[in-house]
Amino acid sequence: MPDESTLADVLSRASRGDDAAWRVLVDEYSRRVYGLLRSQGANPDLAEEITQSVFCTLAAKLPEYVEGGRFESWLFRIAMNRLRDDARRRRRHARPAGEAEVLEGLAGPAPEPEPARADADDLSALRAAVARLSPSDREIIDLRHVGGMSFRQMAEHLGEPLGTLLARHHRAIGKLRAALQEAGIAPPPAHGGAP
Amino acid sequence: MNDPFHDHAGEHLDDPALRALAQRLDAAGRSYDRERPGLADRVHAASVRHLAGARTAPVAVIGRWWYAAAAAVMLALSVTAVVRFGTGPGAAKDIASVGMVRTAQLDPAGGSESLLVALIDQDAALDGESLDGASAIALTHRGSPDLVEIELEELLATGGRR
Repeated sequence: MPDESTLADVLSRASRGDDAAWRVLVDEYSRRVYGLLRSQGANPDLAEEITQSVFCTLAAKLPEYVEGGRFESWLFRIAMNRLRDDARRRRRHARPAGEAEVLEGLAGPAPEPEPARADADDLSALRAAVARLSPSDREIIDLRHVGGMSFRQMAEHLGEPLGTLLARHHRAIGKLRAALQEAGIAPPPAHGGAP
Repeated sequence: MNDPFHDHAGEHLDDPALRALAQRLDAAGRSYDRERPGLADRVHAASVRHLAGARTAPVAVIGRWWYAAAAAVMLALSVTAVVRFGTGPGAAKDIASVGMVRTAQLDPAGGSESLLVALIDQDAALDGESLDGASAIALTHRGSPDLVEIELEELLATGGRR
């Protein structure tokens, strides 16, 4: 992940049409945008389609952007707005998706063969538990653990004090653990290290 | 998760079980990376042309319009010169040439041809009292600056003859 000064330099070069710099941005952020969209319920095809669209928009608007430590916030906001627009369009033209379909989308593609099956089941259970959290808790979890934002970036993105955000994250993780226990899913082994 | 700004990377999670769950969430978040091999390549291929286009397209469009406008101004100045200063035998010949364009040289079949006919037909353009009107015709008659530009250039280059 580029640090702040490197990112500013890469953004500056990309905005002037430097393809190599643009490639750095795409390599670093496309998978995170994709992951965030998937975690919000987009299926793999839709998530990739929106990711491509987001980066087309980003490329066109980059010359207007002035880096002030908010690039990721800007990027993820474009992605989430695009996902909401898409959801609104689909609601107008299709039947609403049930919870089972949403969870299926979150679970990922076709089942994997053994022995990866156990890990995949574990992963699916975890994602399903996250999907059942409140939208507010889910947002915190997804921005942090899928989008890879720092807490400071999240605080800026959501317009909240850092302390409030840390408390919200702590609460959301606690709720997730309780949900997993309630569902009879074994809590993860405690390794002790800071994430 | 490795926090780029080292801001409370997880120490607010005092319970080891919570920290372990956070680690597991990090791994779950990264697992999306494996779903779409070649994602970055495809995103790059789709978006890179927008990067270059973001700088060149508006310039090209503006340039084309400026070019068309400049051609119209050149036409207006030429007509002014003919009408105001062209009182000698040579100028009379030029005006006669312009007058012949419609009857002898142009076959008004296409859109751009009819544009020129409309322009030459305008008494105002030839008597020098309403040159703006002539320019307006050139720019608005067919709505295609490129065609207008080409036809006007040809007209000016031949002194009214084709």
